[in-house]
Amino acid sequence: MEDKKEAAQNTVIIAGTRIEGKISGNTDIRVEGEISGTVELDSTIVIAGTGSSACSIKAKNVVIEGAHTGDITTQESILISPDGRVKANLKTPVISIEKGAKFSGSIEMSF
Amino acid sequence: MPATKILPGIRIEGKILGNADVKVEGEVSGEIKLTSSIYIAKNGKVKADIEAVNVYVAGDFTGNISAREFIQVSAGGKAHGEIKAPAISIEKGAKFSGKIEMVEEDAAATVISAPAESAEPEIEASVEEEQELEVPAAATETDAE
Repeated sequence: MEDKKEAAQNTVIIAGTRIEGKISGNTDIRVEGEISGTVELDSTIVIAGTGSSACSIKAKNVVIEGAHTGDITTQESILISPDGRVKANLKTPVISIEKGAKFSGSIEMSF
Repeated sequence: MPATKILPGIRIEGKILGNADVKVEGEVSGEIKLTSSIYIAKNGKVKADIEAVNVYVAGDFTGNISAREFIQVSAGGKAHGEIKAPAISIEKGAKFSGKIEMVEEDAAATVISAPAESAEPEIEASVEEEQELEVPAAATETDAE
Protein backbone atom coordinates (compact mmCIF):
# COMPACT_ATOMS: atom_id res chain seq x y z
CA MET A 1 0.00 0.00 0.00
CA GLU A 2 2.84 2.43 0.42
CA ASP A 3 5.08 2.55 -2.60
CA LYS A 4 5.46 6.25 -3.22
CA LYS A 5 8.65 6.22 -5.19
CA GLU A 6 7.27 4.71 -8.39
CA ALA A 7 7.73 7.33 -11.06
CA ALA A 8 5.35 5.99 -13.67
CA GLN A 9 2.01 6.58 -12.02
CA ASN A 10 -0.31 4.63 -14.23
CA THR A 11 -3.24 2.46 -13.58
CA VAL A 12 -1.82 -1.05 -13.80
CA ILE A 13 -3.80 -4.24 -13.96
CA ILE A 14 -1.20 -6.82 -13.06
CA ALA A 15 -1.07 -10.50 -13.90
CA GLY A 16 -3.42 -12.31 -11.56
CA THR A 17 -6.16 -9.73 -11.87
CA ARG A 18 -9.07 -10.05 -14.24
CA ILE A 19 -11.57 -7.32 -14.97
CA GLU A 20 -14.87 -7.96 -16.73
CA GLY A 21 -16.99 -4.97 -17.62
CA LYS A 22 -16.43 -1.40 -18.55
CA ILE A 23 -13.28 0.59 -17.98
CA SER A 24 -13.50 4.30 -18.65
CA GLY A 25 -11.52 7.41 -17.84
CA ASN A 26 -8.87 9.88 -18.85
CA THR A 27 -5.62 8.53 -17.45
CA ASP A 28 -3.33 5.90 -18.93
CA ILE A 29 -3.73 2.19 -18.30
CA ARG A 30 -1.34 -0.71 -18.56
CA VAL A 31 -2.79 -4.20 -18.70
CA GLU A 32 -0.58 -7.09 -17.63
CA GLY A 33 -3.54 -9.20 -16.51
CA GLU A 34 -6.80 -9.92 -18.27
CA ILE A 35 -9.62 -7.64 -19.29
CA SER A 36 -12.85 -8.25 -21.11
CA GLY A 37 -15.74 -5.96 -21.97
CA THR A 38 -15.39 -2.40 -23.16
CA VAL A 39 -12.74 0.25 -22.72
CA GLU A 40 -13.40 3.94 -23.29
CA LEU A 41 -10.51 6.28 -22.60
CA ASP A 42 -9.35 9.76 -23.53
CA SER A 43 -5.84 8.47 -22.93
CA THR A 44 -3.52 5.60 -23.78
CA ILE A 45 -3.92 1.91 -23.08
CA VAL A 46 -1.07 -0.57 -23.29
CA ILE A 47 -1.77 -4.29 -23.44
CA ALA A 48 1.55 -5.58 -22.14
CA GLY A 49 3.27 -8.81 -23.13
CA THR A 50 1.62 -10.86 -20.42
CA GLY A 51 -1.70 -9.10 -20.86
CA SER A 52 -4.71 -10.29 -22.73
CA SER A 53 -7.74 -8.34 -23.73
CA ALA A 54 -11.06 -9.31 -25.26
CA CYS A 55 -12.55 -5.86 -25.48
CA SER A 56 -13.84 -3.27 -27.82
CA ILE A 57 -11.56 -0.33 -27.23
CA LYS A 58 -11.98 3.37 -27.88
CA ALA A 59 -8.95 5.37 -26.84
CA LYS A 60 -6.51 8.04 -27.87
CA ASN A 61 -3.60 5.64 -28.38
CA VAL A 62 -3.46 1.87 -28.19
CA VAL A 63 -0.27 -0.16 -27.86
CA ILE A 64 -0.47 -3.93 -28.06
CA GLU A 65 2.43 -6.06 -26.93
CA GLY A 66 0.26 -8.98 -25.84
CA ALA A 67 -2.94 -10.57 -27.08
CA HIS A 68 -6.01 -8.68 -28.13
CA THR A 69 -9.34 -9.55 -29.70
CA GLY A 70 -11.96 -6.91 -30.41
CA ASP A 71 -12.51 -3.76 -32.37
CA ILE A 72 -10.34 -0.73 -31.77
CA THR A 73 -11.01 2.89 -32.62
CA THR A 74 -8.40 5.50 -31.78
CA GLN A 75 -8.12 9.25 -32.06
CA GLU A 76 -4.38 9.11 -32.65
CA SER A 77 -2.57 5.83 -33.18
CA ILE A 78 -2.35 2.07 -32.86
CA LEU A 79 0.92 0.26 -32.41
CA ILE A 80 1.21 -3.51 -32.59
CA SER A 81 4.65 -4.44 -31.38
CA PRO A 82 6.65 -7.51 -32.49
CA ASP A 83 5.10 -9.86 -29.91
CA GLY A 84 1.59 -8.55 -30.30
CA ARG A 85 -1.20 -10.83 -31.50
CA VAL A 86 -4.32 -9.05 -32.64
CA LYS A 87 -7.64 -10.10 -34.14
CA ALA A 88 -9.65 -7.01 -34.75
CA ASN A 89 -11.14 -4.37 -36.96
CA LEU A 90 -9.12 -1.21 -36.52
CA LYS A 91 -10.05 2.38 -37.21
CA THR A 92 -7.27 4.88 -36.74
CA PRO A 93 -5.44 7.77 -38.41
CA VAL A 94 -1.99 6.26 -37.74
CA ILE A 95 -1.02 2.61 -37.47
CA SER A 96 2.13 0.67 -37.12
CA ILE A 97 2.38 -3.11 -37.26
CA GLU A 98 5.89 -4.14 -36.47
CA LYS A 99 7.72 -7.08 -37.96
CA GLY A 100 6.91 -10.21 -35.97
CA ALA A 101 3.45 -9.06 -34.97
CA LYS A 102 0.44 -11.17 -35.85
CA PHE A 103 -2.62 -9.43 -37.12
CA SER A 104 -5.81 -10.56 -38.72
CA GLY A 105 -8.75 -8.31 -39.40
CA SER A 106 -9.44 -5.08 -41.19
CA ILE A 107 -7.94 -1.63 -41.05
CA GLU A 108 -9.72 1.56 -41.88
CA MET A 109 -7.66 4.74 -42.04
CA SER A 110 -8.97 8.19 -42.60
CA PHE A 111 -6.88 10.21 -45.03
CA MET B 1 4.84 -5.42 -3.55
CA PRO B 2 3.19 -5.45 -6.96
CA ALA B 3 -0.50 -4.80 -7.09
CA THR B 4 -3.12 -3.84 -9.57
CA LYS B 5 -3.61 -0.11 -9.21
CA ILE B 6 -6.62 1.77 -10.41
CA LEU B 7 -5.66 5.42 -10.34
CA PRO B 8 -7.74 8.59 -10.21
CA GLY B 9 -9.36 9.30 -13.56
CA ILE B 10 -10.23 5.66 -14.17
CA ARG B 11 -13.61 4.14 -13.61
CA ILE B 12 -14.44 0.45 -13.75
CA GLU B 13 -17.96 -0.90 -13.89
CA GLY B 14 -18.16 -4.66 -13.70
CA LYS B 15 -16.17 -7.41 -12.08
CA ILE B 16 -12.67 -7.53 -10.72
CA LEU B 17 -11.37 -11.03 -10.04
CA GLY B 18 -8.08 -12.65 -9.25
CA ASN B 19 -5.31 -13.43 -6.83
CA ALA B 20 -3.23 -10.26 -7.02
CA ASP B 21 -3.69 -7.38 -4.59
CA VAL B 22 -5.71 -4.45 -5.79
CA LYS B 23 -5.42 -0.81 -4.83
CA VAL B 24 -8.21 1.55 -5.80
CA GLU B 25 -7.60 5.28 -6.05
CA GLY B 26 -10.16 5.73 -8.82
CA GLU B 27 -13.73 4.47 -8.99
CA VAL B 28 -15.06 0.95 -9.08
CA SER B 29 -18.61 -0.29 -9.10
CA GLY B 30 -19.85 -3.84 -9.39
CA GLU B 31 -18.35 -6.92 -7.88
CA ILE B 32 -14.89 -7.71 -6.54
CA LYS B 33 -13.82 -11.27 -5.80
CA LEU B 34 -10.22 -11.81 -4.79
CA THR B 35 -8.13 -14.42 -3.09
CA SER B 36 -5.89 -11.54 -2.06
CA SER B 37 -6.28 -8.14 -0.48
CA ILE B 38 -7.90 -4.91 -1.55
CA TYR B 39 -7.01 -1.43 -0.42
CA ILE B 40 -9.43 1.42 -1.08
CA ALA B 41 -7.20 4.46 -0.89
CA LYS B 42 -8.08 7.88 0.41
CA ASN B 43 -9.58 9.20 -2.81
CA GLY B 44 -10.90 5.88 -4.02
CA LYS B 45 -14.61 5.24 -4.37
CA VAL B 46 -16.00 1.74 -4.41
CA LYS B 47 -19.60 0.68 -4.69
CA ALA B 48 -19.46 -3.07 -4.79
CA ASP B 49 -19.85 -6.37 -3.08
CA ILE B 50 -16.41 -7.52 -2.04
CA GLU B 51 -15.06 -10.94 -1.23
CA ALA B 52 -11.38 -10.92 -0.31
CA VAL B 53 -8.85 -11.96 2.31
CA ASN B 54 -8.14 -8.52 3.75
CA VAL B 55 -10.05 -5.34 3.03
CA TYR B 56 -8.73 -1.89 3.95
CA VAL B 57 -11.02 1.09 3.56
CA ALA B 58 -9.41 4.53 3.69
CA GLY B 59 -11.72 6.04 1.06
CA ASP B 60 -15.43 5.74 0.32
CA PHE B 61 -17.07 2.36 0.34
CA THR B 62 -20.69 1.34 -0.12
CA GLY B 63 -21.73 -2.29 -0.32
CA ASN B 64 -21.13 -5.55 1.46
CA ILE B 65 -17.80 -7.04 2.43
CA SER B 66 -17.00 -10.58 3.33
CA ALA B 67 -13.35 -10.93 4.30
CA ARG B 68 -11.60 -14.17 5.14
CA GLU B 69 -9.23 -12.52 7.61
CA PHE B 70 -9.55 -8.84 8.36
CA ILE B 71 -11.43 -5.64 7.58
CA GLN B 72 -10.13 -2.25 8.55
CA VAL B 73 -11.88 1.08 8.16
CA SER B 74 -9.14 3.58 8.85
CA ALA B 75 -9.30 7.23 9.88
CA GLY B 76 -10.84 9.25 7.06
CA GLY B 77 -12.48 6.16 5.59
CA LYS B 78 -16.23 5.90 5.11
CA ALA B 79 -17.99 2.59 4.90
CA HIS B 80 -21.65 1.90 4.49
CA GLY B 81 -23.10 -1.59 4.36
CA GLU B 82 -22.80 -5.02 5.88
CA ILE B 83 -19.35 -6.24 6.71
CA LYS B 84 -18.32 -9.68 7.83
CA ALA B 85 -14.93 -10.98 8.95
CA PRO B 86 -13.25 -12.75 11.87
CA ALA B 87 -11.46 -9.53 12.77
CA ILE B 88 -12.67 -6.00 12.16
CA SER B 89 -11.16 -2.70 13.14
CA ILE B 90 -12.81 0.70 12.90
CA GLU B 91 -10.26 3.38 13.65
CA LYS B 92 -10.90 6.66 15.35
CA GLY B 93 -12.00 9.17 12.72
CA ALA B 94 -13.58 6.55 10.50
CA LYS B 95 -17.27 6.60 9.60
CA PHE B 96 -19.27 3.45 9.49
CA SER B 97 -22.92 2.78 9.18
CA GLY B 98 -24.42 -0.64 8.71
CA LYS B 99 -24.01 -4.05 10.17
CA ILE B 100 -21.00 -5.88 11.45
CA GLU B 101 -20.80 -9.59 11.79
CA MET B 102 -17.74 -11.10 13.32
CA VAL B 103 -17.48 -14.66 12.28
CA GLU B 104 -16.10 -16.83 15.03
CA GLU B 105 -12.65 -18.10 14.31
CA ASP B 106 -11.16 -18.73 17.71
CA ALA B 107 -10.61 -15.62 19.83
CA ALA B 108 -9.78 -13.56 16.81
CA ALA B 109 -8.14 -10.23 17.43
CA THR B 110 -10.96 -7.72 17.39
CA VAL B 111 -9.95 -4.16 17.78
CA ILE B 112 -12.21 -1.16 17.85
CA SER B 113 -9.80 1.68 18.42
CA ALA B 114 -6.93 3.65 17.04
CA PRO B 115 -3.33 2.70 17.88
CA ALA B 116 -2.93 1.14 21.31
CA GLU B 117 -2.80 4.12 23.71
CA SER B 118 -6.24 5.72 23.90
CA ALA B 119 -8.73 3.25 25.15
CA GLU B 120 -12.30 4.58 25.51
CA PRO B 121 -13.67 7.95 24.63
CA GLU B 122 -13.27 8.11 20.88
CA ILE B 123 -15.83 5.53 19.89
CA GLU B 124 -18.91 7.54 20.85
CA ALA B 125 -18.05 10.53 18.73
CA SER B 126 -17.87 8.73 15.45
CA VAL B 127 -20.78 6.41 16.08
CA GLU B 128 -23.18 9.17 17.11
CA GLU B 129 -22.74 11.10 13.91
CA GLU B 130 -24.15 8.37 11.78
CA GLN B 131 -26.84 6.88 13.94
CA GLU B 132 -28.07 3.84 12.18
CA LEU B 133 -28.23 1.56 15.11
CA GLU B 134 -31.42 -0.45 15.46
CA VAL B 135 -32.39 0.20 19.08
CA PRO B 136 -32.96 3.97 19.12
CA ALA B 137 -34.95 3.88 15.91
CA ALA B 138 -37.59 1.57 17.34
CA ALA B 139 -37.73 3.47 20.62
CA THR B 140 -38.34 6.92 19.16
CA GLU B 141 -41.11 5.71 16.94
CA THR B 142 -43.31 4.63 19.82
CA ASP B 143 -42.47 7.78 21.79
CA ALA B 144 -43.71 10.01 19.01
CA GLU B 145 -47.19 8.58 19.16
